[in-house]
Amino acid sequence: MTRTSRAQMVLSLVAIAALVAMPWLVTSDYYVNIATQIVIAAILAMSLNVLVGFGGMISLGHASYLGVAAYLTIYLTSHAGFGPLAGALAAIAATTVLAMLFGYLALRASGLGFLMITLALGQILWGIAYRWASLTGGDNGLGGPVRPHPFGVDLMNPTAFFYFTLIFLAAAFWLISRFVQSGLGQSLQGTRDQPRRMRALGYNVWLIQWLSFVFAGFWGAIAGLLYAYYNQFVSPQTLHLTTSAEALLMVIAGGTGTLFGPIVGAALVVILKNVVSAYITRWLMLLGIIFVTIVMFMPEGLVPGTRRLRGIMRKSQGSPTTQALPVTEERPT
Amino acid sequence: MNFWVIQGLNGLAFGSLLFILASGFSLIFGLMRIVNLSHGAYFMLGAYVGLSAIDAGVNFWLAILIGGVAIAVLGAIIERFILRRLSGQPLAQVLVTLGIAFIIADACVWMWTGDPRPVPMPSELTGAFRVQHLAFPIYRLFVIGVAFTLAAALWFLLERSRLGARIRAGVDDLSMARAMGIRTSILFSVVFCLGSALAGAGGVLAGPILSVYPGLDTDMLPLALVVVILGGIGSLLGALIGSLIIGLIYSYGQALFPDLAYVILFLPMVLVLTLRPTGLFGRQAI
Amino acid sequence: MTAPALEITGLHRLFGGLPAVRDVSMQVPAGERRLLLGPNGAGKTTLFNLIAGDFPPSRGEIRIFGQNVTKKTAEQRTHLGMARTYQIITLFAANTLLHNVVISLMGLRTLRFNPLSDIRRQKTLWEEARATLAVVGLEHLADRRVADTSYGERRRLEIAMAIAQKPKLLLLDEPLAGLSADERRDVQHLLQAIPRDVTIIMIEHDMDVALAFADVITVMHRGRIVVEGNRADVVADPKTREVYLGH
Repeated sequence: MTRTSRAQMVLSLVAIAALVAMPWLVTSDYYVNIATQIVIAAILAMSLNVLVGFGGMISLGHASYLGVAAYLTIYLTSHAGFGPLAGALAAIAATTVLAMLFGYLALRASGLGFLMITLALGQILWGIAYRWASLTGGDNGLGGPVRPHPFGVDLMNPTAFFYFTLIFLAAAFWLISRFVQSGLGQSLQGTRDQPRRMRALGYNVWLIQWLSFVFAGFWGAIAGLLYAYYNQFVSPQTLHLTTSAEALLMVIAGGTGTLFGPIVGAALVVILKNVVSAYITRWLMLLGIIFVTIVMFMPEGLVPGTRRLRGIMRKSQGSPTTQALPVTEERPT
Repeated sequence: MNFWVIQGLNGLAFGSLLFILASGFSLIFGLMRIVNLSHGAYFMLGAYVGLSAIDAGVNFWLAILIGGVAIAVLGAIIERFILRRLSGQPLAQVLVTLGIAFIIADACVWMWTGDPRPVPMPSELTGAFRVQHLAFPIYRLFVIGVAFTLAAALWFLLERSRLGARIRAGVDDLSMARAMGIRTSILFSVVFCLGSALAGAGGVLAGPILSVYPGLDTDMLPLALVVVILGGIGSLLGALIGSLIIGLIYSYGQALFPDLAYVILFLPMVLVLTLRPTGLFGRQAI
Repeated sequence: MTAPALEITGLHRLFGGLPAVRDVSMQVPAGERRLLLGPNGAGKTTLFNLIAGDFPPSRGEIRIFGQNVTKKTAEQRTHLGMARTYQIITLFAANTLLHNVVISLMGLRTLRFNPLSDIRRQKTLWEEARATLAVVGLEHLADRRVADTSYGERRRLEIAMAIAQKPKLLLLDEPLAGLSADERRDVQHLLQAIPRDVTIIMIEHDMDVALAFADVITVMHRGRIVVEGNRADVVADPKTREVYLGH
């Protein structure tokens, strides 16, 4: 169950107010664009947090949904003659189907195995995007003027686009928070805490995890759609392990047990990345250092009131010596 | 026909390099339950170190040794001062190794620039065996030989030596092994160093075939993961067979449909995960 | 004639090379109170876990109310009317007692798959949970987190979680373990208040309570059943003494 302390609520409301009012407070398009990047990253981080924070399943392949949705959006809308709405819907639908497949494969294992499979699948996708140049443009990426103009609104205007993405963020936040408090969301959290007990209580743990995986993939796809609209370009880098790692960092840095944590984490990582890129080219090294530092010294993340990550990290998965009885994941066929 | 043979050789050679990498990874995972995501970076760093040694005039064989030792030392430091602090937290260990992988990767670009660097082949092994119309590059045959020798050596180590017995005991039941007086912390250090050394030396060995370039780490690491998923945890034979299968698939795939080479890699993973999640030779679920 | 609540035939379970349960056959008619006795390592908990569906047997068959469940998962068996408690506390420590019982109740409801409706709005669910807590005498702690309760209170919550689902077959794994005399008395009353049509199979070491409670006793030793019968039979049987005292 999420526990938002009063301080967090207030902080978040202030942040939201600032976010909404921001385009008026700030004169430069540059900052509006950064804010847009934060919004898109926040949706991605929130989707990953469904898996990590509420499901206890650490994925290092979540960029798959961001990237595939982005590639499909640009390809369908710009190179295959789909209309903007049809292209968007097809991209989201196809990416969600991908999440169904990847979820099935990854959930053949748990804990470390799950992580390895998501990583491998994600990198295979990267390899495909990189090699299949005739389809994806290879290393050169895929671009196209895909930003839509719904109801005649010109979204090429940075402020207009910012509000457009903000609507999606609001929708994501609302639906994910409903999910967290729903029967399925509560079941998922129970599964995170006591999988064996949940089975004994009549819960199909695999099914709950798989449904949640698909839900998370869906919202990752939404982030991918907006990503495509924002950049009007996508490259294999979007599917790379480093992108998945950045998403995970956003979740960890912001704190996994809450709904606001990933948003804060997204803001931190996006701002840091933009600031750093202006001064030094060693973003990857900084990313690594931050990872190591947070994992070793601050596993609670930077948003107070969460102790989930340390708990998740402590869970020994599958080690033959810590299980008195073999294999609770065994599925009698 | 020639095509199949030549590509088959390339596939076995690549699979052999993969085995050198995957065997170290599998050892570390099997005993310490650490998914060492730095392993690809160790491979790449070892290759760069070996390359610098060669540039400095050292001969190829010594360079392999230097590469292996350098990474073994690095691995020892990381295991002792970082991973051990996180013992009992397997997921934390994974994330830390990921962070370290990024640090190493960026440090390599910093120190050796972003240009791909081929590693010169040792003069003794250049050229090719000619059989009828086919030319088998000697170096690739050599690499295959190294992999099989390594497999035999590791098998001997694990099955016939006291150290191997301790390792196997630790893999089977760690707390029991401790209770029986096996000094697991030293065992961990030894195994981690061995695994790291294999990665580092393997990188140098791979140099003449793959070159060294930024991104070598993220090219090789997922393949090592696929090998372990395919071959099963804790199985040396699984790592060998898995590596060769992946090597062959990759090689044929690259040659037949270069665009789709990576798509083909999906298939064995999907098959194994669906039909036999413990992997071909694994004894426990992953 | 109704099918027995539980029928096991030739059950066998190996761990590596070690047979934890050896050729066990047992029939528990509906409504019976069965006690599983035996020294540590006799295989009682393994047998429980086999019945509950934690892992499959190496050999043998398990039937619950006539249905062959040998290949069914634990959650499938729960939906057939089975519930169990655990020796080790596996409750949701960070949540309230009420929440724990709600999770138990939800296990049998389709609500558990609903991604939209807030469970906090399901009034009947929470009322039923509160009523269940009242049955075990924990209603006054409904809003306390499990982490802030005593061991005895958690044991009672375990039982509440199990009876919340109104099971027809109840497996109790050492429900009295570690409790004080007063707490034992409370739990004893609780168990006796469970409706007679519920079949109960219990592992217990507290002889007085257990022997008074049980209709039939099964004594296990080294994975096998060595004695089975009512209290008088078992107490009189020399094999029982052998099992516990070694002679």
